[in-house]
Amino acid sequence: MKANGKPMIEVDRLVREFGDRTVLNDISFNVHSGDTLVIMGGSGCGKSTLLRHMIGAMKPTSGTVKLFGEEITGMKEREILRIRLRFGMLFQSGALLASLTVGENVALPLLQHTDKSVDEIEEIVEQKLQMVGLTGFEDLRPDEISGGMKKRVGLARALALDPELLFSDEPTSGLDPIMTAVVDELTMKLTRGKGMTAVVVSHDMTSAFRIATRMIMLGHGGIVAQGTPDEIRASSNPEVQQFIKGEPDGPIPLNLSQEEHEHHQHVKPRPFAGARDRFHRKTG
Amino acid sequence: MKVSEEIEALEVMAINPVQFLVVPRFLAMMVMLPALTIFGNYIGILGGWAVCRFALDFNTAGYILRALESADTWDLYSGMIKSVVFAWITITIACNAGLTVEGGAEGVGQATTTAVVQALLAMLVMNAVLTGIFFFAA
Repeated sequence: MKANGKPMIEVDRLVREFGDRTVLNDISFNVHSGDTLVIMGGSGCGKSTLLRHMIGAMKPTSGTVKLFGEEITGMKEREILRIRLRFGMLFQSGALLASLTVGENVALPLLQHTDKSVDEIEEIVEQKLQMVGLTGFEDLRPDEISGGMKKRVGLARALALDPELLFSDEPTSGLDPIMTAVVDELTMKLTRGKGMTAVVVSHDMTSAFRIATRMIMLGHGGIVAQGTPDEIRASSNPEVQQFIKGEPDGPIPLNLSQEEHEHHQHVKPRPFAGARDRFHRKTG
Repeated sequence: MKVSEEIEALEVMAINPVQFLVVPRFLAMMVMLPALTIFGNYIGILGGWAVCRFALDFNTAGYILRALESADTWDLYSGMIKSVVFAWITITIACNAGLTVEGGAEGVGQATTTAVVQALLAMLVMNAVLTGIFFFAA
């Protein structure tokens, strides 16, 4: 399936600024059909921001994003809808609608976008929930299941329309090791087996090296390293090595000093200021 | 709703959040607030009867006759028109607060309080305006 003609996703010189802070600086990469790209990097390095640009939820300051060969950065909301039917997205929290049951959540895209009969939809919902190991959970509400289960329902919903492309924002954080392996295996079955393309944001290294065919590491707003899992593992870049081994000491700064923090915020931090007032207001 | 990514999830599923979340609530309010107003009118009339009958020694027939004499069909219509306008005000303010809420559970609580206060004030002002218009126009 690899590299048959045009890439599925083309990100070209993407720049995103928030005020005077550049979160993404000149990011370019391609994702080919059947690939599983894992985007990794420390907290706050712009992984989720990059993902939001790739699904068309945010507009870049400059640069372009193409999905399925079509540029989405300049597209009108109505045109993006057509593209969005072709991919699924799993959100970090699952993002289930609290007023609907688990089954209804998974059925939602099918009810909205297909002409399938209720019986057919019920069958698909059952099948998708079985894929994520949640058979028989149809009638429960999202607040009656655990965080990890919500995430798996979110995955079932993302797969409801059998998308060609799946975006996942931290699909395995908060899952136990066995469930992580189940979700990874499912992702691999869909990508290696059925040719689906996946973009996964993760900092779970075990899971990342298991599923990835390509990896990108973000840092300082740019791409620190990219390549196949073997290339990343063998990388001589000390930042990459620190990150994949999870070492506390290394070139990646742990946090800012207070002085730097003040400089960034332009305000003097006052720890716990107002906490007492808030407490009294709430109890009184 | 915005708090836990649901609205973004709807957008990514190519579902228009306004169509999916706001339109049904808007229609429900447009139907149910006038219905509730009619119900409230009945309860008011019943309450009036109870006071007249048990505290003021009116007889039932007298109450009905007097009530019909002093009430006008326009009183009913103006109430209904107001209820539709109030429904519109409430749903616009409440849905706007819901779609733009930020800041977790505390943010939701604050947005709810703000929406209630704003809707009450807006209704107070609108009630005065409508009463003025009905008084001078009718």
